[in-house]
Amino acid sequence: MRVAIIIFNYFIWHYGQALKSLLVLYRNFFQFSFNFFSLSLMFRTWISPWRRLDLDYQGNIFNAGQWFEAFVVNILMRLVGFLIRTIIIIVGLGVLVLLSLSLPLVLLSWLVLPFGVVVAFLVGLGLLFLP
Amino acid sequence: MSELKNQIKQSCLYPVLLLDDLITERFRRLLLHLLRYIIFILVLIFVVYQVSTYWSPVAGFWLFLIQIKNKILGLLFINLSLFGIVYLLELYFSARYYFELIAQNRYQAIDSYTFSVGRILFQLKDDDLLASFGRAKLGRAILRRLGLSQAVWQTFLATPYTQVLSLPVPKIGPVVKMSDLMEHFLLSSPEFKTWLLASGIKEADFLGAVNWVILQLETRELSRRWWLPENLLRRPGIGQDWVYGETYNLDLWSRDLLKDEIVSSLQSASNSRQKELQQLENILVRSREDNALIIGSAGPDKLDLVYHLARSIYLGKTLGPLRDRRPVLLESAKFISAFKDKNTFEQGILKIFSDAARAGNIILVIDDFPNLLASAKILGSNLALLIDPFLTAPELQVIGLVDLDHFHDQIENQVGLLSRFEKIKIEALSSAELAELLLRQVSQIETDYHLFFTYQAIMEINHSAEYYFPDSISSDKTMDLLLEIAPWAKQNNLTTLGQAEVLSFIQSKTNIPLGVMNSEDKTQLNQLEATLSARVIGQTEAIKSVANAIRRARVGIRNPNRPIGSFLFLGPTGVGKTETAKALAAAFFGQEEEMRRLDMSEFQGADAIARLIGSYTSGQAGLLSSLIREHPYGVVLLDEFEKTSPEILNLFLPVFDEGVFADGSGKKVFAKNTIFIATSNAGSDLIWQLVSAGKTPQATELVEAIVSQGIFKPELLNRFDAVVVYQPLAEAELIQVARLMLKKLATRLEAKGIVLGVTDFLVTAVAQNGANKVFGARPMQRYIQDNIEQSIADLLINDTLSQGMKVYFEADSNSGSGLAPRIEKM
Repeated sequence: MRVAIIIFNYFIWHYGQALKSLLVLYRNFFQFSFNFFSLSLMFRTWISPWRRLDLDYQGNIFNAGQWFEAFVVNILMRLVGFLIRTIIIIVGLGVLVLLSLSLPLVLLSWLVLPFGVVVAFLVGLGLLFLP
Repeated sequence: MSELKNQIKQSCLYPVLLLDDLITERFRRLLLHLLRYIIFILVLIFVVYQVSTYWSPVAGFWLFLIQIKNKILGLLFINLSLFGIVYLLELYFSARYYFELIAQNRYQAIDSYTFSVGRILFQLKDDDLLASFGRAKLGRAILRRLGLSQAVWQTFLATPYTQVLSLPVPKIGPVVKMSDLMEHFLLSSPEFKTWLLASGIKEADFLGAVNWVILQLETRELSRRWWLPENLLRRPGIGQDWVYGETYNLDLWSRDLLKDEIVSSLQSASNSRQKELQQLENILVRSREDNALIIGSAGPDKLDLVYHLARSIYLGKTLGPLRDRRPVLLESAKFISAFKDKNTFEQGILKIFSDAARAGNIILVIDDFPNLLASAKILGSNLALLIDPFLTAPELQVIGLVDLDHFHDQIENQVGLLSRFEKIKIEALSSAELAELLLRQVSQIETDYHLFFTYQAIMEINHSAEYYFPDSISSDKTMDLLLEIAPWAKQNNLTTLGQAEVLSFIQSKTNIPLGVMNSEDKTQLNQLEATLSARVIGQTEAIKSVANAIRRARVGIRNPNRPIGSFLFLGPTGVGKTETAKALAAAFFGQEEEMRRLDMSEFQGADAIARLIGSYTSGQAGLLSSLIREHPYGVVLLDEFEKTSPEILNLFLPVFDEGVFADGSGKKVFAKNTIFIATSNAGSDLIWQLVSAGKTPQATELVEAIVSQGIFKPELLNRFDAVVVYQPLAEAELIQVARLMLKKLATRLEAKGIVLGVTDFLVTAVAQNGANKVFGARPMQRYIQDNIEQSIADLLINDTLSQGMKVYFEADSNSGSGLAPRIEKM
């Protein structure tokens, strides 16, 4: 009787509250990935100079060399920043895409999991005892 | 079926409780571990099998595996299936395992009771909830935290008591909580409450221990749930600082608080700190004047608030604009010591501030800000002016940590600097908040030192820190005591620490007798008058007053906001006033040396106060303030109290009344664990007159005379615990004193192998010839020295007396003293 109560309530949970929790769990993972790869910051600062290593434009029209030097350095620093951030953005977006793709699969697996466990047990018994 | 059992079944938590009862949490977790290992081994074997099919040398060796391939696969499937079942059940349990203290809002009315209450209800056998409390694992854990063993609990159950047969009505929220049930126990079963009290457990202790045990369980459970957002977001994101500048110069002199171990291991802040933290965040996100001055008494509380800010940033729990900020602690002392002249100092400061401002995400925390300002001043630099442009810049926020004393001295008068900052005043933590802090820290100490603290032990640490160490900073000293007691317990081979062990530890630190009194202690206390009388002859009233003060202090009912005792001993010289003080120090603090004397006749004139409590202008330390700071636990003898100036006498008013006074620089000196004895010859004339007239001098009579003569003011006399009159010693008492003095000499001679015969004749001779009406028993010491000690010294020098001999003194009319030595061989 006790086992029957547990199994009955378990199934109510498995196909009810647990499904909702699974979606919440996914939301947490999305949030974590978004935060871990700092995607919002990466997009906002995509072409910012690397670690603020930029020079001030101190030259003028009569001293174009100095101005040009600062220009080149700043372009280079922005390029370095852009490249590294692009890599992180690609990896981060990749993880988010993978997470999204895995959601239907995980949901489906969750739905068949109780049966899968029973099937695995029966297959195991068959392999163990059948010649 | 009883109504109570019906109620249990109606709750939504019933199936989970059933599961918990059927397969316990511990067993489920053990099973999961075991199955994990078995699966790993089976997978390994299967891999070897797969390799062997392609690689013949291995195939030969593992031939038998090929024959049992299906069996291995079968076992693997069965194990995977079992693992799946247990794991799903664990998930089911975990999802329904609600939280009582940490997340109260998760319960609904349909749950009826919390999970903890459910665990107790589930142990119900005969409708008595009290009995099921003791059976449940949770109940046993609570009893253990209260220092109550199962055997003790069983003795309670064996006695007749009112059973608790119903559930209480929930007080707050929709469900019955543990606190509701425990209060219900105390209300419904008076015998249970009485038993707890008899076991030394107050109602508040019982309820506090219950909350503590639940909090520990839930904190552990919460940290295991790695998938919760608060646990997932603990990991900082990649490249958050790429957008901000490097801080090479700043890094040389500072510590990144986000990487600090203290911050990552910090527990959540107490309620009062939460408010201050909110205030700090609000200041830091403002568009202008976004700098804060954290002002508080000396100690770690100010820095603690900054740590909590760093923790909030680390966990991503701060207000939006502070999310990517990096709090950095500038180590002022290290920085100051590195610069010797104005130029390099200014360059250093500018480099640091420029770095911080350029980085764009720095919150610069300056520890001991007034010290940095003062050091700059010594080098001839105006730091306030130098950093002013940075204080107005929006890229940099500065937090200055300032001690309250230094704030008034050095910052309050700098209006320009002050206008750049917003002030936050840190309040000292309340006793309840300190207790909470301690309870959160204990688990770590228990794990590190393999110790077990009872709830009462923790409360006693909290109480003792305030009671016996009043001059330290509250949060610091409480934590220090907890950290100190752990190694002490290890040295003394203790594993469980209760209230008694904490008191023993405090006693070992302070010499104040504490802890539970055993029968020997009680006998000693009851015979205290007899013990003291053996040293102080004849002064029954004085001895009684002193003994009563000791007894009050020992049982812990004295007023904690006053000194342990304060007495005024009045009487002529040589009647045993100082001897009483010594005897008191020996009886209470374990040794005579704990009595320290101040000759108050030295404190007269214009510089008396400065010499007694110190002076701010000259920087001179005071004799009394230093003495009490160095030896807060002891007897202070204020000799010849009447001879000091009236200003000094006034200074003692708060000392005797509140056990506290301010020294010359305004810092408090706590004398709450000190016994003060003031001695005075005032009124000696009256005492002599009364004694000569055959009357016994009374304290009230004498006090009136002293007040009318203007020697002491009534408000001072009122503040003494007792004014004790010492009677002049009668002949019989003088003989007793003489005998005591001669015995002391005999003990000293015995150490040299010589025996002094303390005969009745010698005792009477000393009493009659040595004592003096005016000077009491004191001249007897001189008499013994001149006539007996000197005589023995001469004999020793002439080799007439040597080790192994006995010396007597007999009457001799030819000798000046009337005494002649007689030597005998032993």
